[in-house]
Amino acid sequence: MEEARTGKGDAARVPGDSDVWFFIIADICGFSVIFVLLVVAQTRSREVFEHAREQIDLQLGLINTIILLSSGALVAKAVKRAREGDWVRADTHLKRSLLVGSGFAIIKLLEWSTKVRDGIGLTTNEFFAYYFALTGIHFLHYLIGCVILSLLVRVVRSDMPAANRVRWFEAGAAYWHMVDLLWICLLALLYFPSR
Amino acid sequence: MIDVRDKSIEVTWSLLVGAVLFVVGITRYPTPGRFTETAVVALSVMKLWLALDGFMETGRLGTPLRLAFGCWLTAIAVLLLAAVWF
Repeated sequence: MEEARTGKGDAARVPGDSDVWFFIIADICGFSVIFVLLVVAQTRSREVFEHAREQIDLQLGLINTIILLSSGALVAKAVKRAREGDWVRADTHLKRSLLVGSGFAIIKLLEWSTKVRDGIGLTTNEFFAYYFALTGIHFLHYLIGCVILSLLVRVVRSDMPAANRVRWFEAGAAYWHMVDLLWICLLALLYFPSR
Repeated sequence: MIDVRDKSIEVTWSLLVGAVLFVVGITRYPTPGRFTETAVVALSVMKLWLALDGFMETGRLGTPLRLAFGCWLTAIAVLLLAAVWF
């Protein structure tokens, strides 16, 4: 198998690139500001939020969570195989991750279309303004993640040095896991009913 | 077939999915006080930590980035608790 280590001492090395990690920190902090605004809005109009949450399909949210977590696990496996220089298995895990992850888009579009058919939109009330804005921005991140994973499939076949390919894998995987992280927060803030 | 080299990833994934399924279970039954909401917050924070440590390998990052993720996780925990209690 092709040697894929960077030579700097694998355990001490930042996975991917420091710039990607700073981007991730900045992005999750940006989302967190909106989370704070959501919680503040909820304290002002608790009844509106409680009633609106009853109209959210928790089952679809939970299925999407399992889809993203499973896709994330497959990406983690792809990174592990890439580090070992096993590019055939890395490629297989990556493609499986994309396939599993595509289920998220299907369910999200189904969920949104059901809401729109029921006459619920961005302007229905404050909760749904946050719901559509947050899930919409998250979906945009998800789509960018899908493009990144698709680019990684091309990276596997490229002739760049193995160490660079591993770095690409690690950076792409870190971004994809950020999509998981944000979804876990969205699930807790938007989908669970208040009592 | 499970590859033994992926055991840590499989364990993380199992704990994450287990937490999701447990949440489904507890939200189906009425519980006294705010037990359900507090449990959902605790499990969400656990899931975030598992995803950060098991999938994102934040343990391999330098101290400033580890500290940044630690502060973010603590802030999210406080925010979620505020969402439940206020």
